[in-house]
Amino acid sequence: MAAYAGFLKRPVSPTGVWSWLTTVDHKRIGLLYGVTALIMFFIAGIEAVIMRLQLSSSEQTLVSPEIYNQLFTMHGTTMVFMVIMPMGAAFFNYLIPLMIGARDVAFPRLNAFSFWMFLFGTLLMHASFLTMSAPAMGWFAYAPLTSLEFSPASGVDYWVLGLQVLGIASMAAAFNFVVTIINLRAPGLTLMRMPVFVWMTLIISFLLIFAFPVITIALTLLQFDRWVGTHFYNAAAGADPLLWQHLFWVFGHPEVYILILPAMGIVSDILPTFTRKPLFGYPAVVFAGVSIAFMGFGVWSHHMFTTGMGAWANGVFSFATMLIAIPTGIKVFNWLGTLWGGAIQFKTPLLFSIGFISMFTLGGLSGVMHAVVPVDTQQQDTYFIVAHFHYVLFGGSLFGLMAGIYYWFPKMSGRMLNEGIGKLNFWLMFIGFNMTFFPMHIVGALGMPRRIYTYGADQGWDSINMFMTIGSLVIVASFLAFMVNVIRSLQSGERAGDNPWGAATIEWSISSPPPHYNFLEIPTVTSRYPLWEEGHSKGAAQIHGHDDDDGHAVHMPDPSYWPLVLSAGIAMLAGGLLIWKWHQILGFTVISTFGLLALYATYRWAFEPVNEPNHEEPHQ
Amino acid sequence: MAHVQSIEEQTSTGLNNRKLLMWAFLGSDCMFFGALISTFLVYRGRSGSSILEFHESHDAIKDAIGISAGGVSLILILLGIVAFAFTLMAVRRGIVKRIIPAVLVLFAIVVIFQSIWIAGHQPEFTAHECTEMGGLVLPGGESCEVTLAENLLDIPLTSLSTFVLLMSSLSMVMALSALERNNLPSFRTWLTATCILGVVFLGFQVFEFNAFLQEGLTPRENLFGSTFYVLTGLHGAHVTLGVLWLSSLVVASFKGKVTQKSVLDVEIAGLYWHFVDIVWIVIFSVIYLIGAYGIG
Amino acid sequence: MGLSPSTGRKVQRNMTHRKFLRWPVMVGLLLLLVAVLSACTNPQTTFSPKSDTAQSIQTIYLLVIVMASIVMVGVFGVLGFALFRFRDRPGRVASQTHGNTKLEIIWTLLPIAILVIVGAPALIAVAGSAKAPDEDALHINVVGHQWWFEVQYPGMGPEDPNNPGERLPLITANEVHLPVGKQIYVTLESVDVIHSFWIPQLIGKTDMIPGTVNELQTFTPQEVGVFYGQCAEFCGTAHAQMRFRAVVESLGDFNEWAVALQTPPADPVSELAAAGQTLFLAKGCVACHTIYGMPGAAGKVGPDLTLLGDRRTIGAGIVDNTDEALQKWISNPQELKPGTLHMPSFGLLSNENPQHMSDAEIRAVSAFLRGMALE
Repeated sequence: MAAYAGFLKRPVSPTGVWSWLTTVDHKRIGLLYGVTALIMFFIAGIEAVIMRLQLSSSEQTLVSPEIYNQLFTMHGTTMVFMVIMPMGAAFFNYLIPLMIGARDVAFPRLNAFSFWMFLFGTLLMHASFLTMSAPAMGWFAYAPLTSLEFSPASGVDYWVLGLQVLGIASMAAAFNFVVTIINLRAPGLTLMRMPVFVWMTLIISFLLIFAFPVITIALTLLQFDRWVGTHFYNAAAGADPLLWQHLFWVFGHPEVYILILPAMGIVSDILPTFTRKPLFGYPAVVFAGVSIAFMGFGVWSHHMFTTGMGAWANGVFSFATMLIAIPTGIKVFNWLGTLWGGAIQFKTPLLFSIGFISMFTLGGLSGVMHAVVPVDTQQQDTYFIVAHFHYVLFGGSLFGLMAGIYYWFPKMSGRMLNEGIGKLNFWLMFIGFNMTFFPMHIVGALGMPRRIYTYGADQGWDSINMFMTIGSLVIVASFLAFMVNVIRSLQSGERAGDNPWGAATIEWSISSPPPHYNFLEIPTVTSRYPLWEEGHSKGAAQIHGHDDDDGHAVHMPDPSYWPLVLSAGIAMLAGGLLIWKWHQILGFTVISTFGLLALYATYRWAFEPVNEPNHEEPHQ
Repeated sequence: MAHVQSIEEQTSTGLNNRKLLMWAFLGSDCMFFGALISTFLVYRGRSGSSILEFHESHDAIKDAIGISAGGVSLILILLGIVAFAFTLMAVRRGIVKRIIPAVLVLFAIVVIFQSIWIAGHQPEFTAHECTEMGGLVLPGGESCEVTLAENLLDIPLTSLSTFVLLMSSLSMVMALSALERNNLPSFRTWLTATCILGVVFLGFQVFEFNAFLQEGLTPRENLFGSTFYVLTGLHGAHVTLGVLWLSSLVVASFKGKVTQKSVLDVEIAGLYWHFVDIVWIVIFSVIYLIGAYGIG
Repeated sequence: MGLSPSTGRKVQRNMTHRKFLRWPVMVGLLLLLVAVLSACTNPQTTFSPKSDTAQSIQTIYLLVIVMASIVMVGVFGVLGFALFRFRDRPGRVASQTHGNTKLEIIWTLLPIAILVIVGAPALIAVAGSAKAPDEDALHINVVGHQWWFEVQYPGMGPEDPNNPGERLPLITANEVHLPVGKQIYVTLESVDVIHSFWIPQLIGKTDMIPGTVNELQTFTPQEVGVFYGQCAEFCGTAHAQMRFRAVVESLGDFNEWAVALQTPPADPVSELAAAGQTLFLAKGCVACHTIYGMPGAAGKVGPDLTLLGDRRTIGAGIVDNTDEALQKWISNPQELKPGTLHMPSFGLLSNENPQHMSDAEIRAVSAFLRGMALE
């Protein structure tokens, strides 16, 4: 079955919109993820600023409670699933093959499919804004508030289906990276020589594989309750509303490690470059990551201490949660050990890494506080919790990802970001972040619950809230500085060489940006810091792929439109389910049509060869 | 020069990429079914009771054509066995190439006739059946208060369907072995048998669903209905996708696309098929055996 | 590397100088802020315990804050020092250490030790939280509704006409009265979604889950006063405005209140209040609200309004109970609490609607309701 027998020839051109829609190149896919994630960060950030403006003083009416509840639901959902996760994915996609000396991931078309599913899931979920009823039940959507009885509007349905589609994207990526990292490493690159970022990606992929199916089921059961009338979360029929919480948090807790580990990996690989010494205690950092992943499956009910599970359950989960602090602490100490005795260069990636270490430590400490059950009965569902998770997710994950952006931007674009604006970006973000989120510990300790659209003048929280709102505007300023830096740099930034930072890992041995085939010759790796080895400058020259060498003899997988078609089919099928709720016949038609399209696309993809015979080599 | 095709041949561990992918996917599917089975177990014994009206037995088929429903189903089963044997013979000789339509037609026939049988044949429901199911005859003698749950399950019948699915795993193994020895007719025969056995299993599932619906157990009726239909239904969906996959391999082999060189592809399909079978063993034990013998 | 040596050095020294001082200064200021604020008379603070249980929670809370601060100061101190001492300058050579097993063992054992110090009292407290209530504890059952709290005192109400010898529960809403010095045992239910019951100065929170009865850890209030409570689990549109008051009073006052709650109200004193009583029956209020001892007023949809004049707040703890507030509530509850279920906006209904109430009529109903108070 030749692809040319279809109505569309297989794409071959390396430029133009069509080439981006059909790309299977991991570097392009990484950039697509990154740009989409930054746009979503902007949107979720606006949602946050509106919330902060509403809360800046008591009894304000800037937004109604209905709107506010949609804002915090979408802010949380977007930040978790459509900003932090895809930013991590952007880095996995771009860097993993480069760091392990491969030409691409194990399944390039599956990789493209993951991105398109992510994009369509994002669009599906945000389409709910068009119906004026975005989901409004909080990002963890506790039953029975999500039942038809208490949330009759379609927001919950958009959320459920959007998340199912996003789940397919994450799982496909997880399968891809497990196989890539296990099977496609360059000769000599043993597991214990891999950059820490590669290790963290491997661990995250396993976490995704085992955690995501559980939320798939939780969502499926909710879908059945809402659309078929089953009773999975219906207390009146004998069900236990806590089933949702258990299923959700069995996924949800590993999910937070999925959110933090990429940043930990990034920082573990940046610190050596700017301290000019190896990571302190590499095996411990790796094993700590592995044990965090395992233990992460055993602590989920620490989100449920106040639900009346009983003393035994509370005690067990409290104990397990305190245990997880140990490998986490080990990592922090190893980073300190890396800085100790080094020759520290205060470039922007390092500043963000320091910000990460310090803010993540604070967030981790407040997390250990929550693990103490009696204290949690006063902290649960207050701004103290909001402070904790923003310290680990913003101060932690986002700062780590910013460090990664500043570090690898030269590699990806061939241009340096401006150091001065970078430092301004960092300080504005650091100061604004602490201004906004540190006082949340205080106002939470003063009894301010979370998810409230307003509060009374008699509750005494006005001045602190005003202070925090001002802080959030400082964060906005930092983001503007970042955008200015990126745009200026892309237009007229200083050209970056292969290795502007003098780093040690093999992605810095090829040109900036890399050629489409990555490595002209797959290198043989003999240590953790190959480019710092004695006499390796000769080796570096050996594995250079210069831009003028168009690598004709290297065959890369051909682009394909089937990943795009299949994901469009699945997304439209999900849309059909939404239509079915409103108009059964039309919905059924849409579901069947796109279901058949998806099936057809699967067959064509399965029988499409990786490369067409007798093709022109595309230069991407 | 490193050729991208060699990504398949040279891997850091020696394991094939696509096989590793299937194992990773099966790992996730374990958690998928694990969550569903846990939900089922958590909700055991928590269903509310239903009120069912008594009625006489009713055989619409006997009224229509003079043969009892039971008689019709026996004839159909015998015809089905003959059709099965003929299909295998024809596939072996390369006469029948369009196996997917044949499989789908068979499935449709099974479902349609079963539904007619179920719809046309209603056993009587009296105080005797009520108490046998563990229910309470309500004052007035017209209706029964009973919790529709494990008491509806037909262990002998489901044991038979479980056996059918197990046999399909055996035929899958035989198919792979035939392909390894480059015996294409034998491969096609065994793989077709696997598809048909899978369809027969699905037929048993549909029969059981029909029977339960007729007795008043819908997904909405109580917690047992919700958990039972969703768990076994999603498993059935997995079986259906497997049947589609395997039958497309049979078709592809007739077009010369599946040869001894494609042993890996068939092995990967086999992994999926065996997984689906193993999950069924667990579901069967949890729903039927534990339910029937009241363990836990 | 881009920066010239001299510029680089200057920038680095400024920054590390700032960075080194930043941590102690920031920590100090913030701790000061915390200390000042927690001593404040904030009505919902978790740092001003007024019951035995809240006190023991605060003890562990302070222990945990101290231990966390020690770790924070330690980590930030090492970090700040390292950034200053090991900054890059001409002649600086990084020491190529890959690890130090002894150090790594120490910094694995040290967190374990800290966790034992924190964890032991924590787990002991968890075990203690399951203790059964005393024989003579006061049992209160609170039922969560969207968006108000129904408060029941089992066995304390009038005699049950259907079950002679048994007493009905005493029922009120959005205000919990507690006798000082007596152990309180609260059970929690919900009729719709998950809510949570929390009085920061008296007790940590526990969720109210439909289909289950949860038990709050027992506590004994030790000081007379009025304390703030709030729902602490997102429960829909007006979650932010689902609040209540906990009134801790002497046993004598508590008994007086309990008796008043099951005494049929005296006849309205003023003409306005009498008119209000008639309107209360005529305009359909009784379809949703109960007033003990008033024939025909037995609705169960909304909060019980017996002795409303004595209640400190209106609308589930969101505004003080004044004539103006109550009139605004009756006229248009959506203005005070957007999303309010079931209650019509009597003042906004069209004139043709028989349930419409004019401003004068609303004033009359308000006078009637607020007239029912303890003498």
